[in-house]
Amino acid sequence: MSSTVAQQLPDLVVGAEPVADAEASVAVEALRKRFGEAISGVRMDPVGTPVVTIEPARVHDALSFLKTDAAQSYDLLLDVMGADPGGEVVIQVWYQLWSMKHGHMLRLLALLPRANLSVQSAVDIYPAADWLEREVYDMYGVSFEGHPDLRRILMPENYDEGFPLRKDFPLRGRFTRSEQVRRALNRSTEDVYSREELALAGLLEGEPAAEASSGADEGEAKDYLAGEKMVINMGPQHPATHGVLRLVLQLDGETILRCIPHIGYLHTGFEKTCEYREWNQVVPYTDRMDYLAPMLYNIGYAGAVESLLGVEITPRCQVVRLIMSELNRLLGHLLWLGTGAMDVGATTVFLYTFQERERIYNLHEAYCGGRITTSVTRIGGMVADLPVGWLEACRELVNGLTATIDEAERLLTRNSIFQARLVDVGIIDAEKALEFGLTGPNLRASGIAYDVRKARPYLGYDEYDFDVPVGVVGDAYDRYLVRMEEMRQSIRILQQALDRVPDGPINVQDPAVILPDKSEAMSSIDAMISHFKLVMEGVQVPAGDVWYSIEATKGELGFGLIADGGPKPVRCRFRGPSFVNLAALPYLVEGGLVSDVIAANASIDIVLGEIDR
Amino acid sequence: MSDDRKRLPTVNAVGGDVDTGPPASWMITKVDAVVNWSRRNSLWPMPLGTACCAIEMMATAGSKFDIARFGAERFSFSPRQADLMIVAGRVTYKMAPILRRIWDQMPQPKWCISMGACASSGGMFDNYTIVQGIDQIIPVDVYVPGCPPRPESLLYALMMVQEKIKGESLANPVHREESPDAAGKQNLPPEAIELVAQPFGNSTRQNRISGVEGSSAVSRPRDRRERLLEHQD
Amino acid sequence: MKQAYVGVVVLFVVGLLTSGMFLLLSHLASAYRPSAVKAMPYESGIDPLGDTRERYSVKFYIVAMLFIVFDIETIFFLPWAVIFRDLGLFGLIEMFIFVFVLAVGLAYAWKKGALEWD
Repeated sequence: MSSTVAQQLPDLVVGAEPVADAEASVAVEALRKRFGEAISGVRMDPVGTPVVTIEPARVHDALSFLKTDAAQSYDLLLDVMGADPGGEVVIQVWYQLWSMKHGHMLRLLALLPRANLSVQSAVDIYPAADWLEREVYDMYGVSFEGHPDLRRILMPENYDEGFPLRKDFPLRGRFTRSEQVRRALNRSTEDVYSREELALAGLLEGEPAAEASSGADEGEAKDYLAGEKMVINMGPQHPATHGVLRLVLQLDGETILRCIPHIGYLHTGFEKTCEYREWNQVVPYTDRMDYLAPMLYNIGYAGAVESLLGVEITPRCQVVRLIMSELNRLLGHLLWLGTGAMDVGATTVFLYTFQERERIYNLHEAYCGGRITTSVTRIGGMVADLPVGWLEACRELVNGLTATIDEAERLLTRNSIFQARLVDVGIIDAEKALEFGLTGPNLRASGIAYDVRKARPYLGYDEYDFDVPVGVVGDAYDRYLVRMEEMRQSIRILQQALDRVPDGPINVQDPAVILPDKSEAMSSIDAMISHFKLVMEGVQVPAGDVWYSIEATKGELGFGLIADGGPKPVRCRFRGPSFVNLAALPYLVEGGLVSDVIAANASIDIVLGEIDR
Repeated sequence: MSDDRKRLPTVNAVGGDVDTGPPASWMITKVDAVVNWSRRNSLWPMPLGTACCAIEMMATAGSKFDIARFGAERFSFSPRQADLMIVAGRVTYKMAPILRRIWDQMPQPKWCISMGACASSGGMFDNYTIVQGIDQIIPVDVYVPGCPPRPESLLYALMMVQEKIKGESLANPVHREESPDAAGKQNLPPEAIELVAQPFGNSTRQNRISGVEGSSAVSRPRDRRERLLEHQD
Repeated sequence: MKQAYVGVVVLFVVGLLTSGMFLLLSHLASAYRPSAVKAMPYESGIDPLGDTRERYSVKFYIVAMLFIVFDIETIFFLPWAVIFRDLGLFGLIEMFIFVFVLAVGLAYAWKKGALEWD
């Protein structure tokens, strides 16, 4: 049992005081000193992040400097995203960085001319960049030199309609629907497996079956009793992969030698579709990404747009959004608990947690009419005010929830079978976790106390009393314990918040942003005019860009938005934490047994909707 | 029994006033009754759950909505032991061949429920990556509207499948029609796919993308389908 | 004495007939529509890579063999347990000797590392 109790708790990661001007930031000063001529612009984004535009050729050096220099130490790569602002000029690549030690956020911006869409890969500095760069390649065609395996990640392997997120790519694709269906159904075996996998199975012409790099049996006599290595697929249709995830496993008996995840089986084109929707019309799309805790996405997205608009939500709205966030954190963790326990065999817990989730669904339904797809925020406020009696019902639910969590703990925590399945499975230490870009309970279980609610408080989280649980070893059992404790802390926050809901309007009283009350719109001509304008033209968000993040159930949920003054987003990026967390799965499972894949996969808590988007 | 079949509108040849089977089927009506009763009360679903609808399907299997009272609580993740495929969630072009392969690998008798708007028609995603209705790929028996449909809707769909099974006959080969040449191929011919996947309603208003053209003022004539097709290339 | 065995024979025959009836009825009611794709091994909907007839490690075989031996031992316990009282002390000592012999085998397997997976 991993019972080494830490003698000293790690420090809570807290964000530094925001600087007033971008030039005053430590990182910008150091970058200017070192890369002077290569920097073509410095500005501040609406949430206080300095944005440094740097020449594409120097990006790699700058990232290396920012990571290794002691005064900078930007050790967490949060996001690499592409953006096509339209027109013929450039494609942007954003690098969003966070420093755990100093509590600073920074963005590097590279403008790539269409004639030369290439930049050096950052994988050797931040392993988290592996999948993030593959996605930018897949969606924009930017080639990252030096990337070990630059191939499509979300689109099918033989996709040749083009690069979807470019502005000249039509929403429905270039081919006709029947052609798209024909191509989809005519994929060959070579299309579906990567070169590495074909090599592992010995099917690449002219090459014998490649051995996975274990290195252990160099020079030893060939073991004639050893079995041959098998390459099998786990998923995409599988009960324990938590969605349509495909893992290609090379096995030696029961031991995993190599694990290669394939995603994209649920790639819905959210980011592309949202470029064709008005700002408020994007909200229903945000439900469908992390469908296990939908209001967190609604709230995060609305917060991001409101920061671009410069709108401050009302105190009542703030508390209501906080209550909804914590309720959805419970919703997400309860599902993780139920399905995770069921994956390792404890089916009863599934039924208990789903019963609690039904109670939370009743609250969802009473508030907004939907159980899962809630679409509960609007830019500047909420869909409606709380119904009468909702707060009492919520209080009753929250008070009863502790009993269910206790029941689940009684069944699982000290259960020797559960411990045997989870203890010392999928271990990842703090340093490795940071390199892989893990966030959320996965990072906290490895011993780093980073929670966006504490580091960069939003929605008034700094006024509430709650703790951030951390683990010691970073195995699946620690991740389990961290999430169980997080549920208790969420209940604690809710019990405080439910007593603090102030009276007042729920929506901002700004007719340019949010619809006025219906009674006003029916009686006053000004209100009717602003209602008309908002409905017909949509919210006009002034030109600008922002990268805004909140603490979602699975990690740090980021929204990268670019606005051009119109009613629709130019770029609407959703940094789903599970996308980055899943890239660490091969590290967690290689060398373990097949049953450990299930346990490790359940413990990192992924949802394919936000991975594939 | 033929009255039951007349009640349900169906896509395939069964139902309505068509095809009561070869003349000799009157001899085995009781056998049909027993076989159909046992088949419909022990449907083993194969959940091909991809997205949000899968969560509602899991909720249907939970204690509040309890699919077990219909005999369908044994979710079979292997197609070999399943009767009923429930496609719950949006299906991408990347997932389409897998859906078809798994359908082909299910032994007869088999039925399919297309759960949710995305599986039935592409839903709110009329774009480059989502199949605009899984009936382009596999034959579907019951479509469930909703985004996501409530568990009660899924149970109603299950009951509709049960009604359909009630009206079947062992002597009628149409019910279990499955040509080996059709394995791996699409379910609808290309002309039919073009017909059902035409943009309509809100899908026609997708020609104004921000960043490329000014999208501030509303200009209704630009939303016409001709403008859309112009934008396609 | 033979009277006791009539029951066993009837059970055997009825068992055969019942299972035969199930198989026959299923065959008559079935719809057999084979195809090449349907007969392929199921691998989550993807083309399987590599042959299933590859050599597998001998540790699977060892575990299976140990299981069979101790499972048969357990089966031997059952009739002994039924007439335990009639056999008295003699039966108890005899069963202890039986268990001891098998325990020596278990100790050997344990010491040789056959119970370790890796």
